[in-house]
Amino acid sequence: MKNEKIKKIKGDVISRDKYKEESWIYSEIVRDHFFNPRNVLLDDTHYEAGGTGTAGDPACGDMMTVWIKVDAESQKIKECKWRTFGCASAIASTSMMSVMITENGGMDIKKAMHLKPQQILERLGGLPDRKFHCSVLGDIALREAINDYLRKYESSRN
Amino acid sequence: MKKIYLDHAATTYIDPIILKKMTPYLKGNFGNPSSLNLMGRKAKAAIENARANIAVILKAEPKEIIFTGSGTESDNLAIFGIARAYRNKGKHIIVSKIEHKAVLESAKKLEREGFKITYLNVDSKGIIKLSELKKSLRKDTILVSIMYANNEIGTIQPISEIAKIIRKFRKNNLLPVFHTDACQAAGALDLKINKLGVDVMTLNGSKIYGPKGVGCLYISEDVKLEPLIVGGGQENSMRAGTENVALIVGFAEALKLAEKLRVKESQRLKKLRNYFIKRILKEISNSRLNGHPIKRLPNNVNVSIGGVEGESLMLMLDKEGIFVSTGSACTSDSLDPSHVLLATGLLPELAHGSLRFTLGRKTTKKEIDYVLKILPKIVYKLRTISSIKLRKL
Amino acid sequence: MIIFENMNPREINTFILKDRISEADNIITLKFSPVKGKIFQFTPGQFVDVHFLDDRCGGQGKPYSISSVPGDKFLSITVKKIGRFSGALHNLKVREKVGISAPRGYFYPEDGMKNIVFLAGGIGITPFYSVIKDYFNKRADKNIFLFYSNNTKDETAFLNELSSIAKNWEKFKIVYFFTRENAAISTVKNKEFKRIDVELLKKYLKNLDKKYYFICGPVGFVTDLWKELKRNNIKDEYIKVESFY
Repeated sequence: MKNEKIKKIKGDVISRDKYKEESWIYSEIVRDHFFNPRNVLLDDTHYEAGGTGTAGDPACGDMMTVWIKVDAESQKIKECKWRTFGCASAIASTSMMSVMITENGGMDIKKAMHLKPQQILERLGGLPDRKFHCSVLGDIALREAINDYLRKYESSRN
Repeated sequence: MKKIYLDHAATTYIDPIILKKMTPYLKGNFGNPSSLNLMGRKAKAAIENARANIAVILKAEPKEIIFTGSGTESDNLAIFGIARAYRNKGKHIIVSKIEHKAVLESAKKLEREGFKITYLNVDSKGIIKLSELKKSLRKDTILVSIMYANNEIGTIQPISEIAKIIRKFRKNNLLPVFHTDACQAAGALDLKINKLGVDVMTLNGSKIYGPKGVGCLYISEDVKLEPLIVGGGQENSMRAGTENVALIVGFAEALKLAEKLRVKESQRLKKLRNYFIKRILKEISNSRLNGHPIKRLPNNVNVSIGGVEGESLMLMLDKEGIFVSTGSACTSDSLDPSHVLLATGLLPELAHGSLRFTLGRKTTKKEIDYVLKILPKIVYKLRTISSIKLRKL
Repeated sequence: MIIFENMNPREINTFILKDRISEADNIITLKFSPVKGKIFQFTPGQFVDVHFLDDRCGGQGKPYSISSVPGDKFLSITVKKIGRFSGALHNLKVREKVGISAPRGYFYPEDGMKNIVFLAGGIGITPFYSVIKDYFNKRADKNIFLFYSNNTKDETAFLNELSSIAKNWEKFKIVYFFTRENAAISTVKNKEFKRIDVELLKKYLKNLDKKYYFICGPVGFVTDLWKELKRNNIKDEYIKVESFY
């Protein structure tokens, strides 16, 4: 029986790069997605989204809006664009999420509904506990967008 | 990569002259000031000399200066030390809502121990409401602690007016004692005790081009204090522990130098600061200055920029070699932004979008101009990906 | 002047505190009534955002799972005192008012899910409590196994209520986990004195397959158990998580 108590280091847990002199504040992957965010929607005036969702609140320091385009036949997410007001973790989380659901031909929307913040965090190489909510918000915004799409899809079929 | 350091309110470099004066005490002059042999006596002389120098600047007596390990420790010693010394005379303490966490957390801890704390409000520029202070003073008030100048927004409190109010209230008695945290004021404002009218004052070395890890507490000889750290009787039994001679020497030298340069340097910085503020407000739309525009530390620029978040701004500036800090929630476990900004009534979303630039002795107009080239680009980039739309004014 | 445009108008309804009940060490249930109209519709397992009407905590709201069921007289949340916000909630007096947003979230079993496993860490019990009571009231055709972890018995909220439901409904089973309990708790049957791990889940469930897992509690608890389930080949489509942060 494994009796190791994995000691939780409270405070700034970052990545394995923690003790390198020139280390950044978060993981290298987060850094990449922060300085080079993928799938940002620069102009939403002409974008015809299948579904839109928003999560967060400027008063809380993080807010993100997500737009998705779904292939009607395969029910896979073809495109995911977003905009975020928030810290580096929030921007990187939304960027990574947009990559995860559109890579490899796109995620099935049923599977995307089950996307967990833990999965986003894993791909990001981890974030300090106090930044966990950034990934949660991305997740919530996606779910809102999918539900929005499903509502529109249902009503267009009827 | 060019590095432009604009976080002097957090800490400063150690002036090379100061470092030189410290070094002998890290090398051959290593005696313990409590030793009675020659090595010890030399070390003792050094710290007494440092003490006397600081006393001269404050216009106080050397015996009224206690050396500690930091500004935070001095604040703790003041708050806990005075509260406990006078607890049978009263249990009410007044602090402002924008005090440094060292003061606020000490007050909160005393609250849990049964003391009553009044947290004074500040106005939208960060100045405490004097009428509220007057109303809060009671028979059982033993301590009032209000910081001289705020580290985040730079607002300077009317300390001598506050002292007048307290002295008028206490008539010929000693209580309440008036403490001020002056860590940010050193080098910029007048520290003379008789001018300020305070009974107790905190100072530290890390913001005046001296070393980190050292501070002091001025405490008027009339005021009682219960020590926090006990042991070998150092610092007149007010703070035990082998004194860090090098740091103490460095601290005193730094304060001396800061005082010498104070008037001219404040003038120079004020000009740069005002230039910087004017250009930011002009060139970046939807931006605002936090804190008082005039009653403000000469080197402090704290702005909120609409539609973007502080940590993102800070990290992008960091990439360009520009080092600043932010009032956003990025470092607090509580997800709350700066308590100081919120206390001035600033909307949380603007508190999350705040940046603090604090200029220093080596800051030049050229550096500021460079920052003014980079900052708008960063704001623009973050605004293009931001989910907040700002109305065009 | 800085003016923001598309601030989502939050639907915040004002609620008034009608009653407070102590559930366990540092855990209380707050019962609210809407100032106007009736309690909104919600699905057990959802949460609401709670705001103070003054600037007590900087004007921000925090999410809390609803611990009452639809049809209850009051809307309840159950709060553990951890930090400043929850501390302020603990200090709320009866007749004080707060703002509560419309219910949100998808943390509940869907119709097709029959065999359900709830993994609750501490105050993570709150959404499950609402779901379990609701299913019990309807005698729903679901098989529910709750694994509920706490430090000690005194810190365990709803212990008696849950045990009572388990006694009266054969489709609902509980195992309590106490990670820091010293006392011999004879009154509690079905208990373990360690943390929840997959070996213990296998012991009680016999088979991990064909079940839907719901994990709720602090971030560390949820992430650790999620990883363990994944390592044991449970797919993400069979796992739903809600982390309290």
